[in-house]
Amino acid sequence: MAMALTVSQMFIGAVSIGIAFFRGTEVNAAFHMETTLSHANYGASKLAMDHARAANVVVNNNVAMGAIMGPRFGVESDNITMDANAAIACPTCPYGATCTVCKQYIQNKPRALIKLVWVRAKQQLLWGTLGKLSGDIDKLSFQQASGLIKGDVSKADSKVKMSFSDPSEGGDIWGGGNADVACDLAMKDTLPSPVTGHAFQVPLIKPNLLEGMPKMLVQMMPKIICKATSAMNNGGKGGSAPEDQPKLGDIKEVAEKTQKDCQELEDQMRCAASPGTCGMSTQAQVDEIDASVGKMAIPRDAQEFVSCGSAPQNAGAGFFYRNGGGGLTTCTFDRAKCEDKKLGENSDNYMRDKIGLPKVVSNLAQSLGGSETRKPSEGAKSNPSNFCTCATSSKPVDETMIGISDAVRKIASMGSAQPSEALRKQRQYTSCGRWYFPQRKGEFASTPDDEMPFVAAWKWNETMRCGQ
Amino acid sequence: MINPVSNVLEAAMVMGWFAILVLGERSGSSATDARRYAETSAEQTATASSANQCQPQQVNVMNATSSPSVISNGKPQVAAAVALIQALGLGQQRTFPNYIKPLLNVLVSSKSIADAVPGEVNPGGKSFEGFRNLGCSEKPLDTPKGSMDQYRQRLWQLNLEGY
Repeated sequence: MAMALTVSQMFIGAVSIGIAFFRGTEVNAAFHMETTLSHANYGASKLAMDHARAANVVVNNNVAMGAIMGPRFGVESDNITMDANAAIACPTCPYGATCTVCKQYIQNKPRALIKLVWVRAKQQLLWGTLGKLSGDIDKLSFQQASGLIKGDVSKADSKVKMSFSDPSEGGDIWGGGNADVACDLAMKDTLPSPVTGHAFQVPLIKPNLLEGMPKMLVQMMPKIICKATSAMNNGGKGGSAPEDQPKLGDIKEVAEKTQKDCQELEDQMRCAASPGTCGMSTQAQVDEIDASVGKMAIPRDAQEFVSCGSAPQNAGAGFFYRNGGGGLTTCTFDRAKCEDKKLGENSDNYMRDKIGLPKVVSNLAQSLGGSETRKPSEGAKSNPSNFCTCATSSKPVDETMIGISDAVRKIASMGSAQPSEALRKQRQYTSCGRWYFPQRKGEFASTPDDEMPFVAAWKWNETMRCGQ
Repeated sequence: MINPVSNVLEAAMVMGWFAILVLGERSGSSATDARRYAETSAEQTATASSANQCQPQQVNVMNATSSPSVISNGKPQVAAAVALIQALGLGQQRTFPNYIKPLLNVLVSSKSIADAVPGEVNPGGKSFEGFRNLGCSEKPLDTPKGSMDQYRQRLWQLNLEGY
């Protein structure tokens, strides 16, 4: 009897102890998961935080790059306007009324030129250096953060291994150039400021014979200096429409060329209408043409200034020809329209060829100093899909725990249970973080999409995985 | 014939084992709970502090207490930019600290003491700890319109104004 009692008690005792041990291994596995996952959470939070800061650094770079562009616009415009003043005033010397302007120009131009050289050099240096940094910053951030994370986790638990999946390893995530927006913002910022026309407020030249030209040029600068840009070329925001072009009719050379161009176009039309009068007249005059072909072929360049229509028999102005039906057709050449357009074109050419307005650029980044301001490579978006990073932590389950669990399972199954594969499997946990611009609601909801790369408000949060 | 004495003895022993089992369970549970409180307290404190721009928030769970500390954990590697921008006289602008502010972590340690239970295996007084580390969120330094005017004004005044 005593023996029976002892055996049954031992059995119950063994079962009780087994249950306790088994439960202990379960609790251990649960805490293993919790603490290992916490390392992944730390990794993801640190990576995302550093990337969010990198995003705000890129914004700061963009802003500093834009901030120097405004003064460059102002100084460029002042220098061009001064040169244009000289072109008007100097031919009148020594007795002309505006010769004083020429003398002021000769005296003060070197100072203006020093400013111009300085601002061009600094702008290019700033754009080159900061633009390159914007391209590298995410890679640098990731390298630094991953090293710190591994070190911190290793100190906390040397058995935990960390690995990362970061977009900076695959290329530039701030890749797309947005010099157009930078220049546009710079122009809008500079236009109402004392920067615009400053040389004539100091004044280096007084009076400015081309009042309003500095302002007009500042408006044009995004198109001129940041030429290869979508916004500017589309005639959109900040770009200068043709009617905004400065007209330098006061400069004799420009005025003469404009008159000559339009005269040539008018002559071409006359030649087409009446070959007999080619080159003989410098003024519009009435010609009657017997157009056996029925219709006059107007030269292509002149077409936009010519308007034709049926005319009464006694029509007194313009160029006539008799059309195929026997009626008269009159064509007139709009000299004023031609001169207005040609004056704008010739003024632009004059500024580029004679005054040093920057030439049309073929490589924008190169012309601006080697790099551009940047936006997310996916475009001006608040939440690009590649602005997301993940950290994975892994750690084996303690061997003693696995041994206990196996032993209990074996006893409970009367020896049939196999060693646990689940416990031996490497357990790893992943956590991710994304960074984004808080666009949809709150303080920054009013920021336009294309200006988000110029507003330092990028934030981060943790997420289960990227791509969701 | 069954001996009533042995029956009583066996029943007493079985009940004794159950009593031991229950006490063991309570003992294990007390320790597990204490560890759970420590872990949860650390987790919640770290999350709350991180989300609050690294202003320490203390979340105590049951008898677990946590102590968050904010530590500097790296800086952006932007020395070239800072040197260049400062050479132009800039550095006081609202968003400039993005270049130089240290990146902050919140480091939380928590502690919980297990409740006492009757019996020989009493975890009462045993201390359990939890640790968490998280990167912090940051308060945006900018306005919705950006800060280009601040940089431009200073740059102009120091370097170009006046001819």
